[in-house]
Amino acid sequence: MTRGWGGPSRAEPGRGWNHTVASQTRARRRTDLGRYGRAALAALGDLWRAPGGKAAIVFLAGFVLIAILAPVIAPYGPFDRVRGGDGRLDRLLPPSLEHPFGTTNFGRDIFSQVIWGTRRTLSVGAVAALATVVIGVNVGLISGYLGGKVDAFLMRVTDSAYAIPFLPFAIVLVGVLGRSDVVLVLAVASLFWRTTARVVRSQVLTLKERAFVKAAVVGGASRWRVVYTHLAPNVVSLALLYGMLLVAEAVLAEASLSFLGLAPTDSVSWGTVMFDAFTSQEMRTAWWWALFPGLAIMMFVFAISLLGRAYDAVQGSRRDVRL
Amino acid sequence: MALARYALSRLALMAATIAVLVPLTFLLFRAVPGDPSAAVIGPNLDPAVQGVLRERYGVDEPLAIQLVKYLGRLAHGDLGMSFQYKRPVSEILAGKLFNTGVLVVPAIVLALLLGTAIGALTAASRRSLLDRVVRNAAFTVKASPIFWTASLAVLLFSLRLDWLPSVGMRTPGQGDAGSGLAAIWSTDFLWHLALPLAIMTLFFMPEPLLTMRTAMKENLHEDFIELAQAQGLRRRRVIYWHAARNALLPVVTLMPALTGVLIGGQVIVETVFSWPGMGREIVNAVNTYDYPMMQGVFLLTGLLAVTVNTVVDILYAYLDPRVRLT
Repeated sequence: MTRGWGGPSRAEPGRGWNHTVASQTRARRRTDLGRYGRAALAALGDLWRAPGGKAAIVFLAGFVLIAILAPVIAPYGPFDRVRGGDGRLDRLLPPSLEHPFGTTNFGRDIFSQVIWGTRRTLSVGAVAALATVVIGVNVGLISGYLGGKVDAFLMRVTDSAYAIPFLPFAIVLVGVLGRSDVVLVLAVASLFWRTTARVVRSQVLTLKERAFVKAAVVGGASRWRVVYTHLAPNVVSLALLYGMLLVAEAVLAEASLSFLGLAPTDSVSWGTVMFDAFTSQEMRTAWWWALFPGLAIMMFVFAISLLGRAYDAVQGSRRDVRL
Repeated sequence: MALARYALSRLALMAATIAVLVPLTFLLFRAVPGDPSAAVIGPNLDPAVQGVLRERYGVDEPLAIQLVKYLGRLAHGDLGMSFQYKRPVSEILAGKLFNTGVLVVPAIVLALLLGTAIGALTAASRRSLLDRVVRNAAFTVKASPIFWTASLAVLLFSLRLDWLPSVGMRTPGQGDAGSGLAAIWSTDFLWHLALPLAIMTLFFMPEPLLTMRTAMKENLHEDFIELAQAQGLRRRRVIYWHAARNALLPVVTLMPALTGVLIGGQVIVETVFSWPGMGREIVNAVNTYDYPMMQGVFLLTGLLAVTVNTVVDILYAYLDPRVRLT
């Protein structure tokens, strides 16, 4: 990649020279935030216009909407045991109009479980991705801009992060710290920042040779100001993309751990529904139980990979296929 | 000469990574609330007995001494005693490693062969429909969580159609088929292997396939391909000899990034099919609080991953001389 996506941020430098120092700083912070915001909007705009981008964005927005509106959409609670007209539990009913995804051996409505599960799956995924991207972007910015020994050290750490296989690491972390969503976020964030760090670093290496960065340095900007005011807004689009890809990765990680029975059992996610289906020994009859939650995961991850392809179409780039 | 230097630098990096991995593994398990021996030492035990047990597990000493002792035992291949089996972890894992190997090695080979072949075929094909179908199928497989595909396969082929077994490596009562090659040289074993192997292969195939396809497409526009065509070589020879050979390089580079993914897939497939390998053992160890076992499996997988990556990197430098210069 030789060019920043959308080019350098065109935001004006802080124009607070005739105000007091305090208001100068305030004005500067505002314009800094403005730069990040504008860069993010430009990136989203590019994706929207890219082939396949619209479909992916609409699809993902749909998932987010389902997560938010879960209480409205889901006919039952995730752990409600549904009884039929004669007062008996509706056990293992195949999909019907009343139960579009069928029911479990405890008479739970799988459609409702998948809808409620969207909430936990997406929120865990989003938090994990955010934490990971924040680490990755900062490592990449600092490593790329400072260079030298700092860079060498940080890149060796990045190499080690690549060396550790994720799932055994996450399993061990659960074994040591217990079953919780915090442990899951920790597991994802402590390894997956590696790819974001690498791509941001290589982007920074080309950016720091550009005139607008050199001008800032000559103008007396401090290191941190150069990094966080001038460089960072130009990697926002990359951060956004890797953030999205990481949501998919985190969702898969959450589902895998849940499927292995290593997630907290007090709430529902797509993975825990699969776990229940698998351990129930009822799969011979209840094909619907495993089918629908998995389908939800597949569609979500597929939509994110569409977004990745749209990004490649905008950039004319080829990314590492795995994070 | 350059290759030797490159190989040495890769080996040094491998040593450095292992030097980080080993203490990390040790320290990770000191993060257990209390200490790991709490899983076997009940709080109601006689304090004197507790003291004796603590001494036996070596958890009463300062952390630094524990680390040194841990490293010393490790140097002798001693991974500690499993809480659950009351046998040395290394002894148990040797068998499990073999069981994992007989599933994962054929899966890698098959996935690489099939993936690169299909990737090359679709890239060279002039029918864009075939290309589109294959590409989208690959993306769909990639987006599907492996426990889902595996569960659906069990559902269809084992539970519904009753064609293939869904559990274990051999039919119980068939007797232990012995060890080594004899253990896997039986139709019963192959019959049990078929479904998990198919799932692992399918899971692993999209990456080499997509990479090969992209690399082929790019290569077909390169000068040396046009030269070969201009020299009047047949299209088929140009594509499968000149372009495909060079497109294999990116597939090789892909491998290190995939070891982690592959190991994760293996853990899940072993769980779904109750395959008695290392992946199932680590999940089992978490459920039974068998810390020495967890530690052993984690360390062994880490070492395996680091070794494989180093070997692949050196192999790549051997295949593509440009790498050695950087």
